[in-house]
Amino acid sequence: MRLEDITIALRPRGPWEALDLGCSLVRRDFATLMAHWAATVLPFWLLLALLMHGLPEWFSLAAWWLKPLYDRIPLFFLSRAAFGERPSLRELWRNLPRILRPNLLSALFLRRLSPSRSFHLPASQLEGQKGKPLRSRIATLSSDPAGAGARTTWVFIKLELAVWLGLTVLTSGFVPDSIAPDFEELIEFRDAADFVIHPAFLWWINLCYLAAITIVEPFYVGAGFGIYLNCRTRLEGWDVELTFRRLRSRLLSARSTAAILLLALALCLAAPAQAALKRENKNPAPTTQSTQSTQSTQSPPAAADSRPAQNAAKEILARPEFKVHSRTEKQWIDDRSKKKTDLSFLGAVFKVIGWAATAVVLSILVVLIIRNRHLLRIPRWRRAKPAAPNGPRIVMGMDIARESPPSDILAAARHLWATRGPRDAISLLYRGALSRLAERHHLPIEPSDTEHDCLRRVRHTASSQAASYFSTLTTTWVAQAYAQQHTAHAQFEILCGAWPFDAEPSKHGGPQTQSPRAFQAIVLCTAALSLTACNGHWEDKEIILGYKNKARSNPFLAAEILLKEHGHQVERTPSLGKLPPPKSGLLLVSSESGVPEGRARQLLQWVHEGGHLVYCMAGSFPSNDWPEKTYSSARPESDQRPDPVLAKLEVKFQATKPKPAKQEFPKTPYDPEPEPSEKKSGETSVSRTHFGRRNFALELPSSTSFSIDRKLAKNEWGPAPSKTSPVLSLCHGEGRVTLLSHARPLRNRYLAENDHASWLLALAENDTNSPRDVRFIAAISDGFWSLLWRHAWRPLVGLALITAFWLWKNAPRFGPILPIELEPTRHFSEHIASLGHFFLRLRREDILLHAAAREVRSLFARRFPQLALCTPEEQTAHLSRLSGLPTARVQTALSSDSTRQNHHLVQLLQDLQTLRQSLSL
Amino acid sequence: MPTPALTDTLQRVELADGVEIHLRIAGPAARSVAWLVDCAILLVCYTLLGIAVTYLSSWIGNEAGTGFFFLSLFLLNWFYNVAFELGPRAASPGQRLLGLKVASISGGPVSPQQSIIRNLLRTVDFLPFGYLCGLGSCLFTRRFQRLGDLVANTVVIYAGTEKPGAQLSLAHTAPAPPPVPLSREEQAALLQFFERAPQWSDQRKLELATILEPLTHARDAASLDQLARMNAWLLQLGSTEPAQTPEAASAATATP
Amino acid sequence: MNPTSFENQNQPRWQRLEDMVAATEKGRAPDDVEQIPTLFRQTCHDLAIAQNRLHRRALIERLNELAIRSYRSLERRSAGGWERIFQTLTVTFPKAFRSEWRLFWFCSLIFWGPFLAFALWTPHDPEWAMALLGPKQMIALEEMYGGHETTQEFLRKEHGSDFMMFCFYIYNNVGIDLRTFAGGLLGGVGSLFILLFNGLQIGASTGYIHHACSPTSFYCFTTGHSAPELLGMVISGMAGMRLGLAFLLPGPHDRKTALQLGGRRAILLLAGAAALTAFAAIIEGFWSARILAPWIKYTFGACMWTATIAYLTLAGRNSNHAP
Repeated sequence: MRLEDITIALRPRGPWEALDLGCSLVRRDFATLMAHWAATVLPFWLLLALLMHGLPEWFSLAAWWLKPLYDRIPLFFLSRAAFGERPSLRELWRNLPRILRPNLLSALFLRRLSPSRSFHLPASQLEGQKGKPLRSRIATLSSDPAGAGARTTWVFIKLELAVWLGLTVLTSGFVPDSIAPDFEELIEFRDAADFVIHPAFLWWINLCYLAAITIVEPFYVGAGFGIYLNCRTRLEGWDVELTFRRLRSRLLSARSTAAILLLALALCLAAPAQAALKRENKNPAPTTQSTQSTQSTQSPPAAADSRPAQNAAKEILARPEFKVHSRTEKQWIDDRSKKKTDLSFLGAVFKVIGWAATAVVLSILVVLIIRNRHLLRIPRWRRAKPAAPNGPRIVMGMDIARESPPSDILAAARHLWATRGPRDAISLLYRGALSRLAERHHLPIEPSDTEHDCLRRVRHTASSQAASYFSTLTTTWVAQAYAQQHTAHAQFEILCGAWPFDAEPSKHGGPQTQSPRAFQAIVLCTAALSLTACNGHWEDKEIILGYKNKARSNPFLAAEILLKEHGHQVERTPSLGKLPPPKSGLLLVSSESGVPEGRARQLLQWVHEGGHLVYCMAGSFPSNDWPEKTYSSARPESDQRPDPVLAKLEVKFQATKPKPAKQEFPKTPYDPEPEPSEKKSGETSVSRTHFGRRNFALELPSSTSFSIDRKLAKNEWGPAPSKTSPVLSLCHGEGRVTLLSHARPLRNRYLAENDHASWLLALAENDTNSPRDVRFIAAISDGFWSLLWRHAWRPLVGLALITAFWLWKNAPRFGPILPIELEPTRHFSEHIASLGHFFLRLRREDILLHAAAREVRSLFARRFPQLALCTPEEQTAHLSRLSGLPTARVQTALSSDSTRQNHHLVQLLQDLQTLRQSLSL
Repeated sequence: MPTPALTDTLQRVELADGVEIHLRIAGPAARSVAWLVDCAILLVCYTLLGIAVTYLSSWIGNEAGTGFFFLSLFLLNWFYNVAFELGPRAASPGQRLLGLKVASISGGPVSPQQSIIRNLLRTVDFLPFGYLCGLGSCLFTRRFQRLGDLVANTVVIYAGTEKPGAQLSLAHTAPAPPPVPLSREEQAALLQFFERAPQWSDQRKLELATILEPLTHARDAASLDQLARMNAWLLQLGSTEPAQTPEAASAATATP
Repeated sequence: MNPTSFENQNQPRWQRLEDMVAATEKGRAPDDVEQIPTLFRQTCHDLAIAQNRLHRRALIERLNELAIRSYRSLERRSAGGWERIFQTLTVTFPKAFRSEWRLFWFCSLIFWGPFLAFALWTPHDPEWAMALLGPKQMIALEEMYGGHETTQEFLRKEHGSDFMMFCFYIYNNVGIDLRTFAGGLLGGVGSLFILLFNGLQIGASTGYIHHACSPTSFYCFTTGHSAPELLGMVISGMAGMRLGLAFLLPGPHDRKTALQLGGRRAILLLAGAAALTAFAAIIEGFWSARILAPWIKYTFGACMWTATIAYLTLAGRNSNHAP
């Protein structure tokens, strides 16, 4: 390393500039840096990935945490490159242990989260210090205001995030749908624990993150290095030092010996440098608990052969893909609601008690809080009201605070009499008495009171019994303490026997004496009361989440499987695309997201040719069927547009009144039971419908229904005139249209109920026993790009290839032929022009006019020196002759000192120009 | 021997009078922060606009209010930066906060054309998401230009200077010429040493002074004193001509 | 002269320049404003001396900053004023447009090709157009041009006043133009894509309206503004392609220089395109929604087409001003 070879322009910089310097250092050698990175960090990542192959979700975190490890590789390179040395890969490998070892542990753990990590790194890696010296060194370096280590980290975190996001979005087009997680499912279930993400997806995210690190991290390290260099330059004059050292070596080598540069010591930069728990589903089967056996007996004969179909549907629904997911959760079950229904009076009483108890508890809480508000440290309150006078703690040098005498004063006094003598015992009695009095009667004693004052006060406040006792006690105490008269044991026993203060406090205390204990008791009581008032218990409640995966995203999966098993050809397509041959086709179309006119025409044309269209007005959106939908209105009210298919068939579709829908048959009483919780107030109702020669029971939302004005033909089934029905089957041309107000009967959950499955099969067969080509079309959405790709991928690829080839032939690849400088040194006239603009912008046109006029005058003086002595009028006349301008204009142009002619600016300048030209000829 | 240009963040521009000015080019870090600030300001603007339109609607009718909303959305979206860059400060509020300025590559103010180009091309710089293109271009071009800057031929520079620190008073030092001719660079270092010395500790000053022992033939304080004399001499004479280097001197003697 | 005396002597002059520049930056003109150029030149001279004589770094930085500031203040051009805008629109832009006639035919092909293909093909086989439009857009088209009520009434009901619609068209259509231009930087791919896609979309709409709605109400609404709007779109595509081609085929220059030169030419085209589109928005907002007899509308549309083409081909032909 030779100091002459430094490749950085060092000078004190601002913090952001220092950071930019680091960035340009990295940019200069980015390719080599990447080679070093690929030689060291990439294998490490591969190893890490092998170790963590089962934990893709933790890999990014690990890669992020180990960043201090990779940081050292760019830094090693940069510190060498600063002196014009580009270490080779071999050198890197040889130095690797020395690069990685110093301060590795502290970098990985202690300093890992430090916001000025990249700034500390050069200090620890390049200067080779450890422990305390390192810390003080860092403190010194960061004392400079231009040290922006912390800011650097935030900025680069942001940039890294941006790159990560950008790369993710950039490559997201190449991620196949099969591994992309179904985020809708996450939103629907709100249960992150069950949410499965494909590992390949996670690895893709990880890969993007690694790429982001690879791009951004060298710049981050470079920025830290730049700031470090700047700090050294500012704090230690490192640039000056380097020049001095160069000068020194020049002098030394010039002077005598071939002194070899042994000076890199202090600045030696090359110093060695570092599963989700799946809840088992307890729900055994998705059978939807439908008991349909009762109906079959009541149904007309057709019901008998609906059973196999229903059973088949049930079997299908019992398959694993229709497993109904659920989770259990502890829930507080309130029994009161039940009680209320049973015993209304008692329940009301309990309720009142409960509310009263709650109110009491709350008010007590409020009182407690207000009383103890000093604990809440609200200074204003504290100042507003000083602490309540609880009486002095010390009177006449004796401590009478409640805690200071023992609880059983008499026993303690007797003990003292026996051990320490009468004085102490009587003193205790006296103190105890005072203390009790102060406590119970709020005796207003002051620390300065004498015994007589106390006696007087006691007589004032306490009961007569206590007062007389206290008077005796005082006399005894005064005699004992001050007169040194020994008290007889008998007298002491009398005093003890007459001790009046052990009675219960409430006897003496007024209503305002409330100790915290009383509060506690009340709180406990009311709490217990309220607990009894709100009966309830914790219960494991099962929350049904419904189907997952395929069964969730395809509401007709069970129907599809059923049809397939009966030999039909079934396909689910997102768009209409090519329709099946009309004679053998069955289309299930939903009009939920609106059917355009063109589509309606197309569909009816197809039906006309013999197809069978099942047209659902609602209910085909993918969802898991749990919980039960509320069928307020199948179509939004705001959508006033008439459905084109219905309009062409002259069918009306309207919302019925909330009352149960009329059924076309005055039919046998039919009890839809047995799901009381799911069927609420007639949202759905069972209706009977004919199809073919049979009669089916279908359960549909009763909020909407069809009606038709004309008389039905022989093969058409629907409501009688002026009646409504949710199902309608009409002939159209050679084909048939079956209108359904809601797709509920065909959905996975309900397929096994009532006669739904057999009705579906009947629809498919339609009196012909040949297999049908069935298409489920969830929503008629566009698929232009897929259509384009399917039909025109050959021309597209060909076009792309031709374009690429043409570019290859025509685009120049070997640099410019003609290097030009776009911003060359400006022409002098441009400067003049910009000055003109400047004055014009500042509204000082007079300066320009003045200058031009002066120019004309000086030209005139040079050209006609003989006329210098003439009068201005003669000069003007001469000029006028010379230029052909009228005299008045010449005069105005030349006397443009005043600013009032500014609006003639252009004309004046033109005149002056003409004058100048005429003079220069 | 031609030395390769040192890596620096300065951009030298020659003005017409042959004088060189130095533009301090700003890099992606400061610019991204400025952009974030602008983003926040724009968000606030949109919110205020929404509120204002709601109130305005009751005065001038709902449709006209919505119309105003669209019009201001259009202007804010596309011309927020243009308006500020063409203003007297040549910086959006975020850039002003960080002390940045937009300049033509010659250091002059941006022309309306340039400003419009560089801001319309933000759309491309933003692609595919989060300014990835712009950031990449910014990191890998010499003048930290994003794509819009490249096409419009503009740069973002730091405006303003730092406040200078305390100055050393050397009034009483007797000037003395250095015993050896010093190159221009060495003279600059010596002058820099005394210019910036007040910010360094005494120990550091002595340490640096001792390095030049071969020049001063003294150590520590004595060396410092010697250096101060040389400094005073350089200042007095103004050092108009770069002192001859040994090679130049030998060449000069060889020619006659 | 030693540095201290140099500084002391010149300090008042620098200070004076600093104050004057600060005043001009605020838009005020000091009385002795004609001194600024002189002072600036002197300061540049001082800066050169200070740099050469290795004066204090702080001083050099200050002078450097002062020089930059005064330079910027002197060089700052006003936006050009109305005259310049007028000049651009009447002379410079049409000239630039005519000089790019090759690009115009190319972009026209990209835009009108898919447009005509879809518009003519859809009545025979609506599947492609329907797949492209999607149900939402088809329903919207039916509601607008379905013939149940007049288009104008429908638009009034949906979008409210003329002014609001005008603002919306500015926001949307001019925004598309600007994006088309920006997309050109990606080697022209972005511009081509937007142009192609718009051609497809508009063509499919036209075709679908012929297939399922009432074409009369559609043409009544669109003929008025179609000329400036569609040509504006094509021209913005040209601007984008100018940029893209500068990158792909830089000619004798290196790519960066070619991009800068291309950008200067493209921005002219873009300005014209934006002006045309804004003009179209005015017509669309305030004229197209008027309820008038179809023949008036058609006549107006024909006039607009003639006027636009005449403007692009003839304007600025006789002007002597160099662009």
